[in-house]
Amino acid sequence: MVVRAGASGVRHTTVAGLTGALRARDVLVVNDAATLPASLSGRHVGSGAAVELRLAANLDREHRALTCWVAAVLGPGDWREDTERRAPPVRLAEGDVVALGAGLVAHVERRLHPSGRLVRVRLAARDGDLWGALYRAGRPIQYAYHRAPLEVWDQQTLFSGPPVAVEPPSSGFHLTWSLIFALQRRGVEVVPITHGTGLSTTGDPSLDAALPLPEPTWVTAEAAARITAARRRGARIIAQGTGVARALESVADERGELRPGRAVSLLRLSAETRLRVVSGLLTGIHDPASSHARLMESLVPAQQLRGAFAEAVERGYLGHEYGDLMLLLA
Amino acid sequence: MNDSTTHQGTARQEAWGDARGLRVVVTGGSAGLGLGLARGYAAAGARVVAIARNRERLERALAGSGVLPLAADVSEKRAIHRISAEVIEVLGGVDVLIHNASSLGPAPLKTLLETECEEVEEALQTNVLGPFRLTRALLGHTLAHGRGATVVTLSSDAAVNPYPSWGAYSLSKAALDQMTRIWGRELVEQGVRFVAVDPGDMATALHFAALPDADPDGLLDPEEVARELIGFIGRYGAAAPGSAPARFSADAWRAWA
Repeated sequence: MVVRAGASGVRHTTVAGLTGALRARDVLVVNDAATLPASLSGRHVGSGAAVELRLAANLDREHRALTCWVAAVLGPGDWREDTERRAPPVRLAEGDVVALGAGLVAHVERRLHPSGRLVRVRLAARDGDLWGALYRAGRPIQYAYHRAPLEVWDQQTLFSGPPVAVEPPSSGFHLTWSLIFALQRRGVEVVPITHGTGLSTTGDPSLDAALPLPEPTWVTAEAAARITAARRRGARIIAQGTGVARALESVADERGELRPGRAVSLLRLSAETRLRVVSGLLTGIHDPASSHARLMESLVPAQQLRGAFAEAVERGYLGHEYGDLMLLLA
Repeated sequence: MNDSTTHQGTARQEAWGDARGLRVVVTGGSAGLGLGLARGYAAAGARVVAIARNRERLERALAGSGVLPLAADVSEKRAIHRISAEVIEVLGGVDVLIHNASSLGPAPLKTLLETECEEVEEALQTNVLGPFRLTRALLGHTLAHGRGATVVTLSSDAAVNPYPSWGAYSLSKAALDQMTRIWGRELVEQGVRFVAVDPGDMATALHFAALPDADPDGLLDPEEVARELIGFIGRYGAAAPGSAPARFSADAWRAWA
């Protein structure tokens, strides 16, 4: 569905309708991050307690390594249970070791939150092949609404490249190459940035209140130049996903110009945010009570979003990562 | 890579041509033609990832070459995203992708009447589905960045000639040829060039597994073929997309310019 700020009603269309909704010289900024199998289940060495680590942020990416991570700690069980109902985990402390299968172990280096639910870990593989061990031991982070176990390929998008996302930039799931090529033939520019989409929940209320955690973004000099040039000529900048929207606004300076390189997305967009770069957003169908909806209000008034959501429910649109999409235009 | 600045490195670079700045991925990189390609590209200044199943063998073969070893089995669906993630993280992208890993199917060779279904499957997984999946996994990132690339598949005269008892290998290589051609047509506008190359009969483990009594003197040296092939791929990659054949026989690619 397409929701245009200030317009009456919404327009219902399929994803292929994007070619009609976007016009020549618009820029679609996509996320080229691949999603890691970031859920690692194992046992706390010593107590034998079942522990799940969910990788949240790679602290070693500048070295192109996977060694050092911020990780959320969950107790026994798996995604089939609601994250909030999971039994609390054993309280991990500095020096603890978690054996994760496939020869992968996590050494706890520091507790990052008083609850012990967020830690810094150092991963090591028994045979020295950390990439192999992580992809063998890890599985996708997923949630209870989706019953069937997901595989790593279920979480990739068309553009998947550097593995820096721990949950998928799911607004890309519906895009196809035929659609992208059709948009490009129409004159729409497709520009990739790399945004490390983070955890959407940890199951711990005090931690979840702080979500989303800072998320890393990498913008190439070429992408920064193309987006800045497009903005200057008055073109619309459409973000593929809330992560990209947040990243672009975080990376931009006061004049809305993008600086290339690595940045950390700290901004939380809302109705109060004056957007400097983004003028459109392709995203899932989000409940008006969710944090995503706050971000969406930076483009479209809350009342209009509530109306659109009600209509989406009535028409049977699907929510969550594998559901339908809406295009919001400022 | 770093040794290209030394005197010896400069001499080697001249021998291999100049591939500075290229990002190259070679499957089946621990022996034969794949090893020759990986080392040859590295000597010419490219950044190279070589993939093979056996980690120890791969690391031993690549020692001192500057090529990055990646131990994985391209015939496994599960391994593909790990490969693409590591390759793109380490190289930043791919300019030349060479699907060199090859399975003979049953060894010794068998007529189709005696071939097990699983033996055909094995040949198809390594020779067709592996290249299909890995190309898809790597090309998305390339296309998103609006870059072209050259994708090379290793063919054989068995892809064209119906040699008795080469069934599993033959049919997989014929499928690979056709996949290469179709992919080339589909992505011509995007500047991705696909080419299937028959290197000719080389003194490799695969050849001796198929024909244990083959006379080594009548076979090509894979390192020599690798050198020629690197030159060919450079010329092919520079040609206008769609302007050159998508499949070359053993003689044709050596003559093509």
